[in-house]
Amino acid sequence: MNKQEFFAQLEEFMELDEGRLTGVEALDDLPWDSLAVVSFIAMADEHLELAVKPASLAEAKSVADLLALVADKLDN
Amino acid sequence: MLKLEKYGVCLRLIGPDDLEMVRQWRNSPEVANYMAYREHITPEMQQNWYKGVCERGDLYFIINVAGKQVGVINLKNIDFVKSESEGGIFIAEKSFQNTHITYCASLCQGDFSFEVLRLQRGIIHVLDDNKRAIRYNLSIGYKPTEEVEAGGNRLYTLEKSDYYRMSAKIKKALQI
Repeated sequence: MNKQEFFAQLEEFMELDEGRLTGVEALDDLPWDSLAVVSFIAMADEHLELAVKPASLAEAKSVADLLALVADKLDN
Repeated sequence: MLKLEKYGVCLRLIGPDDLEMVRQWRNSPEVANYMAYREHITPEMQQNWYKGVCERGDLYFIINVAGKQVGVINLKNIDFVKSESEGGIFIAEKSFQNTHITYCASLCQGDFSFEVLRLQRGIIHVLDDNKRAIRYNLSIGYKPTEEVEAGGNRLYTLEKSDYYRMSAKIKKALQI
């Protein structure tokens, strides 16, 4: 999974239009809800083999913060 | 006093000392704006509400996470003949809103409802414009019905089998 595919996954979790996310968005301005949180954790586990702790997600303030949590596992 | 502890949350049955805190939570715009009843709740109204809760045997719990009180979850109108009850939840503490804790509390109460009370079905009413709550409830297995109360409050039902199917996915994702 590369960065663009990661953004596409986030857009799907939040039911956003394709191409909506660029990385600078604050989560408070997005429909980032409990379901998106659980979907994110499942995606990281299944597709990136990465165990993301819920506490880490609770501290995330932006899409860039979410990206940082998985950046090491993404393809270039 | 009834306490349910599972999945990292503790659900403690609400008592008279909790009423003012819950009233303030319930009156806050972040909570009230998602409720069918949005008028200001006075201390007297809250006392009357609690009297009704006790008379009906409704179960309202304070959600505790690591010693912090963060919201309310409930089973009301418990009907052992129909084998169903109506659920509800709100997270008042901002730092816990839109986190996995909502699921942890729902699963803790859901397990209690289906495994201890041995009910077969859950119901909820959700406003048609509350997209966040609709997404959430669909994700734990609720299904919409055609029954809508005045004001757009739609009835959703949760069958036991759907709860177990969906909760298994959530538990796997959260590793709980």
